[in-house]
Amino acid sequence: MTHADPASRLPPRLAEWLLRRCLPTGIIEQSIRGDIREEYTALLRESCASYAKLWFWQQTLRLCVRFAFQRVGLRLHILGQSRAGHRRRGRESTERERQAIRNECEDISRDLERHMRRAEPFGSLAQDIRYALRTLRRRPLFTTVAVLTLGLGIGGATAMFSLIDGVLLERLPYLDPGKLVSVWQVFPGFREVEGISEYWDRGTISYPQYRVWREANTLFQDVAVHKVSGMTLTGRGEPQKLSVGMVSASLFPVLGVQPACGRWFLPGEEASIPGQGAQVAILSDEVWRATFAADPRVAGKILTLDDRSYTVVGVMPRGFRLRRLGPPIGGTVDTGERDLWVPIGQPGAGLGEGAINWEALGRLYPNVPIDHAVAETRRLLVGDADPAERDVRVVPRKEAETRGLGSPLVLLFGATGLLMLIACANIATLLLGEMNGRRQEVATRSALGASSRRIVRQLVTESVVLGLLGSVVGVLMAFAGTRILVALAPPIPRIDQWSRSGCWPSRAFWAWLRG
Amino acid sequence: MTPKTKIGEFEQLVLLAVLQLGENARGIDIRREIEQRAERRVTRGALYTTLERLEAKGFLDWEVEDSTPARGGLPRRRFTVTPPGLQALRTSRRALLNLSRGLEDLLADI
Repeated sequence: MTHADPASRLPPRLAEWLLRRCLPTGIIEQSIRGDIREEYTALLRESCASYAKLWFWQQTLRLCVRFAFQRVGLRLHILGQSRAGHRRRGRESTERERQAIRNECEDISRDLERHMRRAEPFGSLAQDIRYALRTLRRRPLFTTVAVLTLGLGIGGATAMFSLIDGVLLERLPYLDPGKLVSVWQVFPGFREVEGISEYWDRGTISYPQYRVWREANTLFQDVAVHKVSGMTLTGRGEPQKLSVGMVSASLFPVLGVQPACGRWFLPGEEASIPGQGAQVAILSDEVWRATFAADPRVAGKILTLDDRSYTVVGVMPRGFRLRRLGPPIGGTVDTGERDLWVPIGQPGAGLGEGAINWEALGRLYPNVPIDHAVAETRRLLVGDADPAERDVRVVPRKEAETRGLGSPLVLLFGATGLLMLIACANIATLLLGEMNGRRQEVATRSALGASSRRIVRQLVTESVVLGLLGSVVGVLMAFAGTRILVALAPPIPRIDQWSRSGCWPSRAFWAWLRG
Repeated sequence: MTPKTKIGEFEQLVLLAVLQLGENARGIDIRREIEQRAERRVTRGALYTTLERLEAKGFLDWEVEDSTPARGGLPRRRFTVTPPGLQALRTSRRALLNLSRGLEDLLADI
């Protein structure tokens, strides 16, 4: 499996790009990058990917700084050499050489002039901003009302958009999520059964059914199953109850996620008889940090779970989650967080035909229509398969995760958009009212020689400064508002993704606020 | 000593490491050799900029070797010390010996 091969893990692309830009071009650049790549590959073999990536970045930045200094030093050296040469030849220098030096000096002064000309508008802009800030400070009531009104509008809209982005727009954190599907059993009879009526078309499957679908189908690249279980960790301080994902070895290839450290389960570690599965475990990032102090050489360490010894073989990337979308266990919506994962075949796993508790996922081959996949899985249903009583449904994973959420969230977003419009209208009214009182000021500035263009630019600068202040307050309100919304909202899948959602500037802003 | 043959302390270490490694004088190995034998930490930036400087001075030469899978297809350079490089090393060694003559007792390892 390619996932377990560290040599296939490439260094950070941005760092590689930076190296290409900073190093001298040609073979020198390629060979230095090759050396760093070789050491990075060796590091991957003995420690985890995140540590190796961090190391790569560190080396990249150090090399860039070093070569930048060298380049500056070289230019100064060349300049010094050339001036010394001119001085040495001064006594017998020709008119042509003297003219070349004069041209060089004129070039430099033209450059300086050009820079000065470019800098001039920025100087007057800074003046405008300072004036705008003074004007706003002189009118504290107007400024406070305007900034708060804008802040409320921006904050409300941003908070709602953050949630929508996290829940509906954010790409699933799996490889090529368009091909990832949930495969459900449909039990029309359950529509009338209280408690599970909502889940009649999201039925889980049995382990034998998974084996048949995996081995006999032709339209899926692979099929995987998982379920949630609990185990008690002992021998490391106080005993702890851990949330454990029991998964097929095919789950990782299906999701296309690589462990941050170590390897994924091998096909031979999965067993169809309870108790015969290999005693190996993959840790979540949280447990790895809390129990093993983020030790990069954690692979091979032993954990005691339910009085059995398990060997740690890997660590999952930070934030990895796989939600269970079927009937909730204990009435709560699953967040997808697990403390560790073990392969199928542990004691009490429920692997018979009657144990319908495995949730199935599949990765389709490219360009396979959903209805073909439905027909194929229906054909391979184990046991009596009267479509009136039992059928199959194949749903794109993204759709399965956001089921029934689109319309209410978009409606709420529309409402906050209207709130934003009302805020803008209020600000416009306030500004117009203010302008009436500032006629004298504008007339004075005009009489003192300010052109109408300059006055308009000053007023626009004031509005922009007001808008920026409102935006700062708005983003702070959005930060608080999103947290309040998440806390008060009913259990919505992926709602906790809000802090990871958004475009990179908003992510950077959240990171700055948190850090 | 002419300015052309002037070399700094770290440059001397790099040239000596290249001579010690002989046929195996590649970037990674040179760094490792200095760290092990001279017992000092060498940053990659310092090493590569020094290698380029020594090449510019004409003290080092290199040839390109085949890549390995671990390098992702990127080439590898093998360095050799040129005759001027060897001369520069001889000059600085002679200067060091001249200056330390008579100080053997003071400079001897305890």
